Amino acid sequence: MNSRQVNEMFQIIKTMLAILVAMVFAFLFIVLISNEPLAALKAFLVGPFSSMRRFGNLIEFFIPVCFTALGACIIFSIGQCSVIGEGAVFFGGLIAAWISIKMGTGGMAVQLAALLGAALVCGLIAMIPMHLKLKYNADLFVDSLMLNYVLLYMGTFILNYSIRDSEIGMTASYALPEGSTLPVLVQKTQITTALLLAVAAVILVVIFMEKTSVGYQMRMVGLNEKFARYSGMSVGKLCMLSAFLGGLLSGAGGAVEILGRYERFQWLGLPGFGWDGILIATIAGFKARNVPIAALFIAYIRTGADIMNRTCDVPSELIIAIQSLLILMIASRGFLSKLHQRLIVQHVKSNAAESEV
Amino acid sequence: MIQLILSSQFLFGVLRLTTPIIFATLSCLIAKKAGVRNITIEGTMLCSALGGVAVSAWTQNVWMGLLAGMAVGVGVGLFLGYFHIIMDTDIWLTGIAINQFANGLTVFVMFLITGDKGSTSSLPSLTIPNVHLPLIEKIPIIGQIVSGQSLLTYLAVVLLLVIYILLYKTPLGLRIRAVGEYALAAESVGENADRIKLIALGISGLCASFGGMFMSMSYSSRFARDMVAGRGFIGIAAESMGGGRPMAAAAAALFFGVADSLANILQSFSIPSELLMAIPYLATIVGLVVYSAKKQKDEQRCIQQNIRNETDDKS
Repeated sequence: MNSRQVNEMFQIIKTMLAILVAMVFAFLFIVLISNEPLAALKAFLVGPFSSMRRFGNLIEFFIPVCFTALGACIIFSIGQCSVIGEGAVFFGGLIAAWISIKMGTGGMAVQLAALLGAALVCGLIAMIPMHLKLKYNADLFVDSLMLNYVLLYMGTFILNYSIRDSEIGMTASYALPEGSTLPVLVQKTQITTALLLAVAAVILVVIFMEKTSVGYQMRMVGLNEKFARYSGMSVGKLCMLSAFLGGLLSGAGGAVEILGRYERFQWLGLPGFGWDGILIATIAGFKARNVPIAALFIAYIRTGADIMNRTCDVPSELIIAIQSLLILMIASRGFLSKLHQRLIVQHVKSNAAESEV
Repeated sequence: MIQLILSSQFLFGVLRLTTPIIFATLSCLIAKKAGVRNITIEGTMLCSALGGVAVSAWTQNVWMGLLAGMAVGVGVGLFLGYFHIIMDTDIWLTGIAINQFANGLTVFVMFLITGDKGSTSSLPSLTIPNVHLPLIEKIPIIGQIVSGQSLLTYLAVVLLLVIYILLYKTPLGLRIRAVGEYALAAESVGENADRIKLIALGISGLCASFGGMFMSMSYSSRFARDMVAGRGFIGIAAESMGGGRPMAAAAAALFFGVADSLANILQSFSIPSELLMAIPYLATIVGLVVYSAKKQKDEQRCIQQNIRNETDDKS
């Protein structure tokens, strides 16, 4: 075992232990506040697997956050803190709906146009705060965050003045044309071909980040920007590219969400998938290959929380709060640092003993 | 429209809407002076807003509510400090996670108390009184603008002065600034940098708590989910534009207050409200970029000047 494997093993132990602690917290609170703790726990833990429809909910949640988490991986692995994912998901969904409604027909071509259009627009938008950061050194976090709100209100404006259906009782767009929504893959659920797209996105991003020189350069910039710069990498261009790809993926996530699960565009606020994406990327250690399992885990506890919320007396927000604690533990370098040190010391000692022999 | 903007009502509204942003700005400022980027202000404000409302309804004493909200704010600040400083967690991730935590926790606690996930309108919570300033109230126009504001609005002005004095005229302020400037140097002369940072984060949480309570106990009389609506983040932007100087940061906060009120007042014209609501956020981006660009230019000019001076000296 080399030292890298020791580190990886430690990361796995740490993540597992953090999950365990968070789950214990969740159980404690559920038992404390619920009048029917056993039923609540059962709904939370087993609920997502108790019927095909509920398992479908899990996968349906998985799809958009898988996209946003991949986007967050790309942006954060270059060492930049842009939170544009949230706005990009919203705007991506809106643009996809807008394109399908304006085209007015269904079919593969329309789906593709809506998806690509939404992804491209969001990719370009995500480059704005990064550009402002690189050119003027304006705070990337604040700018990207404010842009999220601007996108929300701009999107609401487009919804109300361009595609709003005034004949129904709620604020929503015209119905998406027949055949413009993604085909359902699994009967009795809303799992659509979007799942295949998500899997394809994971594979592409893993290959891009781990097997191409551009991906390697991006990770290098994230590890040590000065080193990368002195080695002749064009840091600015790499940052812009990562912002573009991050926005593109989040936008695509919003697009497949709307085209897969909705009949009309009806988001009136930011849907929250962007923040979930960042949290999932943290659990995955910002490595694209770990995203599916991390996203599945978050999708599992969130679906369980929703079922518990619907069937019992425990609100699902409890799980959102505990999920954030989980992220804090995983992201902290101090958590279990003594164990980490002991593992490494042990490893070095055993290596030394071996070389003596 | 000009008439509306120059009216005392509008300026009264500006002061009112600037209040939470000033608190958020001060909160960000003091943390940044200690070298910590506190982006949890939004979440801190939410927690304090709920804490103040809940305790004021429970004790039927507005001051107990105020105290509780303050304690909650300090608690969140120290919570951030614990994870960032002691557990060595990345500051951005900690911030994002704590904000999410606050979002979930406030709704969860609200549901436990009221059984409602939207707002606490069923709670008999109290509000912080508005104060009519004697004498000043009698002055035409100015009296109408300045007097009759919430107690917290006046507190914002006082707190601005207090933070200024704390940072620049007291030993603690010097320590905070030294730690923020270069923690290792401060430690080399026997300063406990972690402790100073924790103190600064506690004060930062306290400042943010007033902003939160202004939203739930003065601006409106109840707590509602997501009621802070990005004001904590706008405070961070205002602090950036102020370039670390308390007075300049307060001026920037005022600028956002104006943008906010402008969005309110333009609603009586036939401008789509969605676009108006985007104004404060758009103004933040533009303001931040203009400020950063100017700062960058100044720095470049400064460097060029230095080079020129040195070459002059040599020749």
